[in-house]
Amino acid sequence: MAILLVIILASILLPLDYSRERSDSYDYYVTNWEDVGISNVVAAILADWRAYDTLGETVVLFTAVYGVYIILGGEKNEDVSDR
Amino acid sequence: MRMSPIVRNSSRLVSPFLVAYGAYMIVNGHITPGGGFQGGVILAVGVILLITSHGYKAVQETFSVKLVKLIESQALILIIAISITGLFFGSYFYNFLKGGEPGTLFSGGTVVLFNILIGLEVGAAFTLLFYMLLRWTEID
Repeated sequence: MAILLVIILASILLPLDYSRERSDSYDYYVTNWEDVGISNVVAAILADWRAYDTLGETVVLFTAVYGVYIILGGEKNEDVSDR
Repeated sequence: MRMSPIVRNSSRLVSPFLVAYGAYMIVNGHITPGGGFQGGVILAVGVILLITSHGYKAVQETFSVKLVKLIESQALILIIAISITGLFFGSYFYNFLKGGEPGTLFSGGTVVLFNILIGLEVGAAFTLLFYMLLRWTEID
């Protein structure tokens, strides 16, 4: 069964085209990285060009954690030692 | 369940190094691989390791839930404040502290501040998540 699955997945995934798509944004990031003044292009994209995206990511994490906090009791029994 | 002294002592030895590694990753996020999110998770792991070995009660005396909540919310507010401060210099999220030689520690401007605040936010978020999930299971 496992071998059959591997063969099926390989026949689907191996013929795919894995060459990199050269798009305009790639060329823009590579040629204009000096705009930000950071040698790490990943950090430049995440924290400067796409900072809006990172802000949204942070807000999502904040909301998720506070959702868990409120669902699991909120301020009730916050300090176990007070119980 | 009380962990053995070997586990407790070795986790106490390892966790300061984890915090130092996370802080290094956050502060150098703009010149080396890494950044705010990854470094923040490593910071949280430093605390979570102590929670798993010493129990919720003992760790909470140092890193109280109130402190973790304060760090998390204030970091998010400061991130939004930095992004709005850019409005006075041109546009939203404008890098108003730009300068310095690219590739050195003191370069990048707001990207460094952004990384530090995201690291604090993520670390506090994961620590709070673990506190909330573990506080009903404390049978120490």
